[in-house]
Amino acid sequence: MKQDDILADIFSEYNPTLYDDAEFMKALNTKLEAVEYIKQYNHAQIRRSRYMVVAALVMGIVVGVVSTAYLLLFAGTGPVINISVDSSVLMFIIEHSRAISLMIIAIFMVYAIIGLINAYQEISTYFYSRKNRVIGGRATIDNN
Amino acid sequence: MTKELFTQLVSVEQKSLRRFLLALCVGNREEADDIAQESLIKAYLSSSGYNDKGKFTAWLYKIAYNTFIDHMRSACTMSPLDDAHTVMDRSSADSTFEYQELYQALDGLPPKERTAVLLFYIKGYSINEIAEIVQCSTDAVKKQLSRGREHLKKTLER
Repeated sequence: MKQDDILADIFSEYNPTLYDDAEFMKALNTKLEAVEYIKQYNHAQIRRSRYMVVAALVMGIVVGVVSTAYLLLFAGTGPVINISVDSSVLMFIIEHSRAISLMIIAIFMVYAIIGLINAYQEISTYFYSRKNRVIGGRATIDNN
Repeated sequence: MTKELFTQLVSVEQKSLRRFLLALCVGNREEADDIAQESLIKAYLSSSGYNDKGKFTAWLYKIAYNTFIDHMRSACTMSPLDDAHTVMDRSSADSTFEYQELYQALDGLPPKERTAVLLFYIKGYSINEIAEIVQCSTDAVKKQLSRGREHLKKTLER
């Protein structure tokens, strides 16, 4: 215990001079402002990408449904569109309108699926970051 | 937690935290202040998850300790040239050579023992509180404190 007293005395007298407090706080405030700016920027980016994902999803579903319904209304193997024109390009489009429509549907459906996957990832990331939010541990800087 | 509130709480605690880190970094002021700044940024980033009312200081020390350990680990991977640079920094760190004996004695302690001793003597934390900060069992902290005291005793007696 005597030794403990010696250590207690040594540490009770421990009062080293530090670099200027005001300078330290000024440097810290500058960094906090930078962090705040990055946080706001990231939040804005995330919000924007979420809106885009939702828009892509809605657009994909709407176009997919409308195109499928349109194709179903014109069952059979003939062209979907029938316009009497002389242009060879338009004639080609009319002749292959069924295949072109299917391709467009496929593209929008793929777009919708990508949107769905992104939405799922966004949601799971959100729940994961909420679950792991901390507590002062190592490697806990939330990049969001 | 808002930035203003965080800054307000930190401005009260920063001096004590920096003194603790200065001892932990055995007198290397630049390193101590760097770790203090990094710890406070980490604390701010995770302050939204902070809900341990009344234990803000212990929470800050926990982050500071983890940051210090991370620095120690990254220092282990430094090249010999970087090591040499650090040694030069350390020798010139405390211009007044104040507490050099104490720093030398602390330098001989492993980080965990050093932290336990400093939290116990400088901050006056209990074994349980130290265990919470360094994320160890109370038995482990008791051993670290005992070994730390023994080592300091031998070194400071010389």
